[in-house]
Parts: sequence; C-alpha cells; structure tokens
Amino acid sequence: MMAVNAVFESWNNQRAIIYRKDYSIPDNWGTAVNVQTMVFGNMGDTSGTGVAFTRNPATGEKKFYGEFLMNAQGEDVVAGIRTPQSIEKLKERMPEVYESLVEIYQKLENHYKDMQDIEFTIQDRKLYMLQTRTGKRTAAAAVRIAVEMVKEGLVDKKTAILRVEPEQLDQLLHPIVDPKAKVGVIARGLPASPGAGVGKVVFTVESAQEMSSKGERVILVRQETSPEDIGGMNVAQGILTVRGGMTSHAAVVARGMGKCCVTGCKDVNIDEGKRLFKVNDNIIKEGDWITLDGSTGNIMLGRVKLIQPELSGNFAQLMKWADEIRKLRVRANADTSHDAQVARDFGAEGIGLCRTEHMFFEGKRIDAVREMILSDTEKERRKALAKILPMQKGDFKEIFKVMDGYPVTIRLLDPPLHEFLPHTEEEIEALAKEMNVSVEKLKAKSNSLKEFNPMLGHRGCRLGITYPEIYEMQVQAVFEAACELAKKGKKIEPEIMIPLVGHVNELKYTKDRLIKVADEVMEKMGVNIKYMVGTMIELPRAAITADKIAAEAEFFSFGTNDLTQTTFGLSRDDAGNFLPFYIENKILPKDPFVAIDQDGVGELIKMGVEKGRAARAGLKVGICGEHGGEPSSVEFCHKIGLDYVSCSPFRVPIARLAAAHAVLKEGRADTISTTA
Amino acid sequence: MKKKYVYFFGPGGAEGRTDMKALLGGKGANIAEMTNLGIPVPPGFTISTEACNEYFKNNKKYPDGLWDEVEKNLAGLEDMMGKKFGSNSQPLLVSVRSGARASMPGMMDTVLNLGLNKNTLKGIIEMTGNERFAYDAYRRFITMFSGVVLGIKKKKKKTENGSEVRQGRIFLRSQRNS
Repeated sequence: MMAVNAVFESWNNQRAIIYRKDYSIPDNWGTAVNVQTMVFGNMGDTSGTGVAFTRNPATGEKKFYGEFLMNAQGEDVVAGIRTPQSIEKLKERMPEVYESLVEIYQKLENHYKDMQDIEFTIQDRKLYMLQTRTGKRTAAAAVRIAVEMVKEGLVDKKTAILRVEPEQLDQLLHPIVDPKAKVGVIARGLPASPGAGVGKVVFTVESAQEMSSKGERVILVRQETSPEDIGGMNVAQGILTVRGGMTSHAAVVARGMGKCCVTGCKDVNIDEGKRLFKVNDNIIKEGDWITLDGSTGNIMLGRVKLIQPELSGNFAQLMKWADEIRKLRVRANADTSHDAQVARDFGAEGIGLCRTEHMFFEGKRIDAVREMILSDTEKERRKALAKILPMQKGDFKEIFKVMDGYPVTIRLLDPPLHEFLPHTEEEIEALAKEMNVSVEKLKAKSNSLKEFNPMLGHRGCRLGITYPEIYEMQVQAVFEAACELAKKGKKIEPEIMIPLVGHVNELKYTKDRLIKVADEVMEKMGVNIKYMVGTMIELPRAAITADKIAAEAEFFSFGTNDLTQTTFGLSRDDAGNFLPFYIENKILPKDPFVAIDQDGVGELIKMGVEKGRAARAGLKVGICGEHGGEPSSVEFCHKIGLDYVSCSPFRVPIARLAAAHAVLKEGRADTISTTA
Repeated sequence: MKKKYVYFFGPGGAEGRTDMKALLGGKGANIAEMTNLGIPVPPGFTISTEACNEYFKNNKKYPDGLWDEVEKNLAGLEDMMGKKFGSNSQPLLVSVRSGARASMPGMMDTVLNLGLNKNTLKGIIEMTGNERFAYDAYRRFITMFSGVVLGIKKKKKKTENGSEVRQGRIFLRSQRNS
C-alpha cells in the first residue's frame, strides 16, 4: 500500500509538475499504477535487461537499435553506472533469445505501425517484454520513418504527414551543433532564434561588416540591438545579446532572418572599450572564435562542428504530400531579395509582407531618409525622397525577379519617423556634423517627433496622409520597377498594402492618391499591370468596420502582432514584466504573441473576414503576423477560411505542414483544442 | 455497478487494450495489448488513473472498493504464479511502476522487488539457490524503497541519463521567471 501511495504521490512531485507544465500535460490526468510479477535480469550470466528501438531514433534508419546489460536489473541500463553493450552483441551471446526478440519487435512494429521503444528482461534465457511505446525521435528520424513506412505499405500518406509535428521541422531547417562534437559551454542565455552559428566575436556593426567583407564569419555580440544594427546582423552568423527576451528586437529580427540568436545572457559582461567580454573566468576578445546554439541558448568556446540542413530526399517527399492536401496558401514575410530567395527555396507561394522600412536603413539610404525628416518643406522632402527612389525601385525589381510571377504584398512605410533618427548625444552630434546642421536644430526636430506612445502615434497611414510624398515615392518605385520588368515579359502582381487603417476614410484618402501615381507611371511607361490595393487589419476598429473598409480594399492582411497588442491593449515591448507571470500562473493559457488568442483576437479576425467578404465577394484574406508560422494559429486560419498565411521564410515549411495537418484534423474528434 | 479500478493482465489475455491509455496510462495499456498479442509479458494488474484522481480528490484516501480489488487481483496473481506475497517459502515479488497517459520519462517513481524482507529473502535464496542474486535484489529494494517510498534521499545523486533532461527543464523554467 505504501508503494502504491508513493507512485500516486509522485504524480505531484516537483519534477513531474514541471514536466507537465513544459509539455502541456493536464494536471488532472493522473497516473496509473502497474503492479507486475518481477522477472529478474540479475540472476546471473544467462540473465540481462535492455532497451531498444525498432528503428534508429536519431536517424530513422530501419535498423534494430538498442543496448543491454547482462546480469542487471532495469534501472542499471539507463542509470549509466555500467556501460551497456550494443544489441548486436546479444546475437552472439544468446542467439535464440535474440531471434525471439527480433520476432517480437517486428510483430510490435507491424501491429502499432510505428517505431516502438521497447524494454525487455531476460531471466535465465527466457525473454519477457516489460514495455512498448511509440518511440521518441528526432525531427530527421520522424521524417525518414514516416516516408519509409509509406513506401513499405505500413501507413498511408495522411498518417505519415500527421506523424511529423510541424514545430519539429524547425530542427531540420537550420544548421545544428553536431551531437558528436565535444563542446565547452561557457554560458547560457535564452534560445531566441534556433540554429547554430560559428564565428569570430565582434562588438560593432562596423567591424561586423568590415570583417565579413573580407570573407570572415562573425558573431555579433551586443548589449541589445536596435534597427540600426540590421546591417551587422545581416552579415553575422549569429547574434548574442546581454539584455532582452524572446521577443526583443534581436530575437524577432534574427528569427525573421533565420539566423541563430541567444538573448538575455546576463553572465556576459561586455567591455566595448577593451573590445572583449567576460563570462565568469573566461575572457573572450574581439576576433576570438565562439559558437552559438540558438536552439538551446548555449554559448560555446571555439569552433564547434555544425551539421547543415538537408532539405531534399525524404523531407521534400513529405512536403510534397503535405502540399497535395493543404488548402491554405503559404507566403513569406520577406524584405529583401535574399529573404525572398530563401522563401522560394522553402516553398513560399508569394510574399505576404514586404516591409519597406528596412530598405530605409540600409547603407547610405539612411542619410537621405534623415535628410527628408529634417526638411522643413514639402519641396525639400521631395528632393530627399528622389534620392531614395532609385534605390527602392532597385530593391523591388530584385524582389519581383526572384518571386517570378508570384504575388508580392508591399507594405508602405509603417514606423514613426523618429525611429530613423539617432538617440544618444554622441550620435546626434556626429549626425549634425555630417548633415551640416546645428546640433540644436537636430535636437529640436528629434524632440518634436518624440511621442509618449509611439505604437499608437504618428505612424502607418497617418504618416502617409500627412506626408503624402513618402507613399507617392514608394508607389512610384513599385510601379516603375514592375513596368520595367513587365516590358521584358515578366509577370508581376504587386499588392499595395496600406498599414494601420482604422477608418475607411483613411484608406480611401490614401488609395485615391496612390492610384493616381500608379496610373501616371503606367501611362508614362506604356504598360498596364494588374495590381491590387488593400489594407492591413491591425486595429480592432478596422475589424469591426470591415464591411465598410472592404468597399475600398481589394484584400485584407491581418497584422496579428499589432492586432494582438491593440486588442489586449498591451505593448509587446513592455510586456516582459508581467506576461511571463501570466503564462506561468495560467492567467493566460498561452503567450498571445506566439499563438493567436482565438477567443479574442481570433474572434475579431473571424468578424473581419465575414463582414469583409459579405461586402466584397472574393476578397482575398490572409495574415502576416509571426503567428502565420505557428501551427495552432495556422490551423485556426484554415478553419476560418483564410486564403493564405504569411510567415518568416524559415517557418514556411512548418506552415505548409501545419496547413496539411489542419485539413487532416478537420472533423476529427481527437483534435485537441488549442485554447483549452 | 461499482466502478472498476483494477485491470488484470496475464496468460490467457488482458482486461485492457491499447486504446485505453486515458484509463490505464501508456504503459498499462500497452502491456495489456502485448499480452493480448501473445507476447510474453510478466503477469500483473494495472490500477487506473481514475483511482489516482479519486485519491487526490478524497484528500489522499483510496476510493471505496479499490483496495478490495487490489487484494483480489493480487490473490489471482498469486494463484497464477503459485507463489505468495510475503510468504517465507515461495515469496511473490512484484514491481510497482507509474504510468501516465503521456510519456513522462523518469519523472515519477518506481519500486522494484517489492515483497522482499528479511524473511522472504530466505525463501528467495531457497527458491533460486542463488544467494548473490537474492542479496543483490534485496539491496536494490532497500535503496529504492527508502528513497522512493520513505523519502530518504541519497547522499550524492548519481548521474542518471534522465537527470540531464531534468536539469534542462528546470533551467528553462527558471529562465521564464527571470
């Protein structure tokens, strides 16, 4: 009775509770207790015990894989006190036992039609099975086993697709640390963006760019990053920050780039003056090699061997099957032709969000952008914008070329202008000198642009309405790029997206002016291009008045990051102090920035889709928040009938598989509600 | 009818099946399934997850009838094996293992070699004629029972395979707190 009690009690021991929390296992499931006649593997040299997998759980290879110990009891094999022998040795020692073990494992695999993890004990040459269960496996093994079992006729394609968890694919899409490599972990931060990177330590954007231009691989180490660091992040193999969480600038941008990133590593002490950082007793200087693992948060000394992702073969086969089944289209959020190429390689069927502000930061453009901001008259602004025009046009052309006829949704400038100005005293002084204006003037301008709440401030279409010349330049660039390519026989489908619309009049006002610019360009170039003008739905008011907005919009793209912020009335950048507590204490079931809050934000999306489509038949609807690559959110998007989801390029395969899962799970009773 | 809390498995079949994971836990359901497939599995019985939930609901008391069922099944097992739990001559030894619906490797507790004590030890030595084995089993039992059931901690934790996973998990949690 005491033993039964103890097992019951162990359901509520600390580690079991933590494990359940981490794996979302409900507390009210309880544990069963198995009372079973003992068989003894410790009865001498004709006894033993072991564990085995019917296929290799690391690679998926169809080969019996396991370990055993002679003269031992169950716990010894996993306890690591003695070193077990490979299962093949059992064949030599007790061939008849080995043979019946093989017979049983094949029977079990054929019965369960999946790879099994089995435990056995041999008592005086007699074999007993103690356990069989579906074996845990790596993503690579999951894909290989699923595809091979279809070929063997064990399971059908649908089952195979469901056997691979979309989220698991993340492991396959990035380089990983070779599991066989010897590593020296010096610190650990938050696993902010998966994958691994090896490079020489640099502390500034300038040295990152300088070294990478010489063909060196670098890891950018910063206190934290800001939009001005994009150039350095772009060329780095990985990013390490001392501050910031899973949703910090570094984390979000790195995930978008598909680059490994470790944030919030408080053990790292950067001394930028001496160009080194300290971790405990280690001193790492600029130029020293380190390795980051963004999947675990580990920081390692030296150059650790990495394994590159393998996207052909079984992976491609599985994705092909998923594509045959899914109904949702999958697009990518991509701001550069490089991102667009990655997106295409991962199977994106268009760009659902091309943010144009990143184009404003790159290289020398930021100077022209700042010149525009500092201008006092429209005429001066137009002069500055004219400098940016050819660069933006070039960017669009490259992106259109890569997308080769697939639709590209271009979001006009969204952030408030002060994001483009320097903030520290030193930077302001340097810029004033460079731009040949007084420090006072620059400061005054900067102060005049300051906002108490930038997220709800002078941004999005509000900017486009008050400074129409900005959007006009952008649309001109889009259409000149499109027309030039169309003349060469390329098929281009631009979709102009106007951000932060709350009232239909904002959209109408902006749209009318933009169409005029588009028409002018097309007339001048003598080409006619099919295009659409639509809007982001990222304010509750836009969702509620979607019927009125749809009268002016040809498509909706739900910006679920901002829609979540504005619906909850919480700023993502300031949520770090309470959101983790909310999740920990189940006040919110999930982080709403990770998985769509289906009851609240989701309800607004549903309303927006229904009202929008009622007002305009065939209205094209998608989402472009980070949620577009999160499986439960993808399933939700499928259920409410969206046309597409758009996510970061590296999550495109995850979204493709999740979209297929959504179809297969439809109407099945065992679909676990994601909001529960 | 009274609720059934205990499910038997042994030669000739099992009362459970693989699709009863919610009730019997993963391990219990699969042991039953293997038994039904005619695969050699040491006989025994599974106490359901419902019993565990009732136990916690009832302020850590067993639900009515549970212990009767356990004793009945234990008696059945004794007959089947021709041994008796706690007997000095032909002692029956059992393992007591947890088994939740979802696999939670290494998270919960297990007691092996239950039924061994100073007296039954002699019975085991007589039965097997293997003194080394009997003492090895007894030693294991004492370590496990004192650790798991009586809650006496080992001085120094051995590096188990599972401990790395555990540390990793706890680490992740502490990160979220920060």
